[in-house]
Amino acid sequence: MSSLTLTLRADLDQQRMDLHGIVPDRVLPLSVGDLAKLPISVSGRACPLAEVFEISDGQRDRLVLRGALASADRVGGGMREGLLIVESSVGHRLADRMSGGELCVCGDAGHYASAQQRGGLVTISGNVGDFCAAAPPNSRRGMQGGQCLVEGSAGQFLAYRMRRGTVVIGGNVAEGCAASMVAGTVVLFGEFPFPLAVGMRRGTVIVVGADKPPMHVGFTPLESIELSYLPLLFDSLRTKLTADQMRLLTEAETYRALGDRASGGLGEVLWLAEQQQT
Amino acid sequence: MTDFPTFTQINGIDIEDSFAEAFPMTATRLIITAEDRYWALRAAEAMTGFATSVIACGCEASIERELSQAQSPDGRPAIAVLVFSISSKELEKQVVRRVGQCVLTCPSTSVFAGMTGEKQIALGSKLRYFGDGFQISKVIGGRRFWRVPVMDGEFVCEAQTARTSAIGGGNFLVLSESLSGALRACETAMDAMRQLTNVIMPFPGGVARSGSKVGSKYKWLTASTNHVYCPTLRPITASRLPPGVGAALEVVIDGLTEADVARAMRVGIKAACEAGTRYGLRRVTAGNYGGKLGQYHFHLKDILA
Repeated sequence: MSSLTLTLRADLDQQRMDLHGIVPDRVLPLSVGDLAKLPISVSGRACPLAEVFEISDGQRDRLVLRGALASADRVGGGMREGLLIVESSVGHRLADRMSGGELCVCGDAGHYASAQQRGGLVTISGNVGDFCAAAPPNSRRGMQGGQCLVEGSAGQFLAYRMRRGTVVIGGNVAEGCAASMVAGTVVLFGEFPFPLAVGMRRGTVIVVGADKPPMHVGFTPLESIELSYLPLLFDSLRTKLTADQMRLLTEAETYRALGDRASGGLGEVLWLAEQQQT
Repeated sequence: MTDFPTFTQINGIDIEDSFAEAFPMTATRLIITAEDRYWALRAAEAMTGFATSVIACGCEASIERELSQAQSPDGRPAIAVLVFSISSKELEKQVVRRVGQCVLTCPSTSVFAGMTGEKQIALGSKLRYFGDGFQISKVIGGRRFWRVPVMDGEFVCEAQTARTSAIGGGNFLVLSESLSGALRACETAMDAMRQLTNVIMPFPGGVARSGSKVGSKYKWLTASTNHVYCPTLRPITASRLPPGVGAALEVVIDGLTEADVARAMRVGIKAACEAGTRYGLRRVTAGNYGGKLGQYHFHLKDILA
């Protein structure tokens, strides 16, 4: 028997909608009748869920969302526990105020993904837009907890004013990465443009690669270092990253630069120097 | 000598119909890791030094066991220690002082909480100030760690550790024909008891020779020698030493639960008795205060049933 599945009706795939609250801890206990009446916002007006999604009842072990959901914002918003699987790309503000559970997106996510995440695990198989894990407008704080793992690339201002939590980007990132970062951990497996972590206050940015990264003038020179907390961090990611990614993290030589001293910051950029295969 | 009843024999050794009287305590487990086993052990030994009795040490502490690499939080050699005290406030004070002076100072070490629970006491959240503003907080998997810069790199310390209600003062007494025999019997018991988890034997080598009674002829002294078990006082006191017994030693046990203490007593008594005839072991009994002070009573009859 398949799991409870909500499939977006084909004629609504261009409408902007807000799916905050359509999450396992709220939806799974409901009967199909109650679920059908659950209000969601479509183009600014409240609609019963049944007018927007086809409901296919099933096992209540997880919630599955299907259809062309690229216009659906705040997917996973307010989630506290359970498993939510989205078999599509999603819109902006993914995992808004999510505090627990696991959210898997099989596709891309728009801007401000995980920007207001407070806990739980978000995995995105595609790319994310700008301001992932970053402070949204009118907010001083970006991501405040949990883990966000992106297999693809990230747009501009990844982790801008990020406050806590861990973000892993498997691909490349655009300008402004870790700017004014307050705390937390960012792991970059791909390429990133100069400068990195401008105005960083605290926290850790880990870059993985064979080439020594150019550092912003506010950072101390990269120096070889042994850090005994790194095994704890890597252990927390062990089951979520690929074996190749874990090898890159655990077998590298570590270099550290502190900064951004230009703004009095005491953050750290760690370069995990990829060992050349002989 | 007053004759005290025995209820059974193990390997020809009398087991007295008595009970150990134990007290409620609060306890925590810490895990100390280091670059290698040598330094992890040095830190654990220093941290649990001068921690035999809450009477004058503030806490009772000892190494519980060595952990495997898979059990170690950071994959390095790891030692688990248990610390017992009479209140959460005193426990926190002792833990912070001892970790600050004995583990933070020891090269290459890190300290982690060894148990989880809702009741928490401070650990790194107080020690972090040694970093003088250069300390860094890191939250990993929902647990907060403090990274304090020190001369060999960083001292990593979990911000808090959990505490749990526990039991202190489980015990049994080994009565032997000679001191050397009593020592060997206790050593055999300790070898067996050290294989157990959730218990410590906080006295030197796990054994106390200065079993005490409550009070003294001196008003300012809260505990004094348990004269009824002193062989040199046999002629002038109502001695509890059977004829032919030349030495008595006490194994003291602190445990996280009643079952842990009872299990440790059973394992220790049986191990001592199995080897006991070789060492002139004559009798095993337990220490109590008439049952009026401690809420936990470990009757040897029940434990060995």
